[in-house]
Amino acid sequence: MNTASDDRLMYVLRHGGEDERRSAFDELFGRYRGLTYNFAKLMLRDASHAEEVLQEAFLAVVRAAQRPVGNGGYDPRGEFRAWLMRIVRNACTNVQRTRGKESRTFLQDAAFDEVADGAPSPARRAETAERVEQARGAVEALRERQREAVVLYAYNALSYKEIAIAMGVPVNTVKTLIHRGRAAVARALEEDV
Amino acid sequence: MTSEGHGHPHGAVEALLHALVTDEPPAMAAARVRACALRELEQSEPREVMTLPEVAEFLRISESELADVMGDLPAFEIGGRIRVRRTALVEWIKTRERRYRRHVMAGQAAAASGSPVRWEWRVLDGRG
Repeated sequence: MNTASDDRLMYVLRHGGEDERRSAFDELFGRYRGLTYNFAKLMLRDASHAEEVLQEAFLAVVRAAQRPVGNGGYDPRGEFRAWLMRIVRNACTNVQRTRGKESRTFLQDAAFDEVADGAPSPARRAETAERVEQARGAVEALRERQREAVVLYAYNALSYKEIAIAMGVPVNTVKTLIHRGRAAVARALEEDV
Repeated sequence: MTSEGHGHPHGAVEALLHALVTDEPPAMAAARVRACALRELEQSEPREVMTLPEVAEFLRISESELADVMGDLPAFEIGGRIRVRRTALVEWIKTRERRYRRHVMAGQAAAASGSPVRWEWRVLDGRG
């Protein structure tokens, strides 16, 4: 397992030889493709749009690695995840703008997932699957900022500070958004029982 | 609360929320994104003309340290901005390498004959 920090990988992506740059990219992509994809899918409620965001975000990572700091380049301050999520938020906005807000229903998304993923993930089995989908519906019904905060909170690996940096709001605002969003999801789940 | 993560309680709601974010992107899509990003990486040739912050980063010194050697730098001015050609910069580095080598050899010769030459290192460093 590669234990290099995200900042170190970004440095290698900028200054390393061809093979080193490739493996640095693969490591970063492996670490954050799930975060990026799931965040985008929940924000845009659309799996194919989420794939576009994934592409846009990681192209932006590569480009930021090529530029010097202060000129659009990545500033290695130990906040890669928060920085990446800002990029992902922007990519979501761009994709939403260019593709338009299509109102695909949740069932269509689920069908798409089955085809695209091949097999349902373990979390989606039987009863649990139903509850997860209820939670998805509840999260998707949240207002945008609450949804963002709750989805980032769902990762557990992200700190409140990182979420605050990613969203460009104070930490206390993040806590409030998460608290209210989480409560709304819990209420919705109880009502569905 | 830990520095890694916010350490939220592992309640039923949290477990369900976490289940929402455990999907992997479809393998085909992931492969396409990877190929696209690697192509971008390969195409990103180093720029032929560099700005001063880029030169400082290339030399791995600060911009204020770069200012100390500006007079010597193979730079040119265009529209009030200073630029440096990468190839000229590399040639300039080669000249400095040769100069450094001569000084080191002179230093070694002097050391062998017992005369102190440590000041020369400080001059070379540009910070003496």
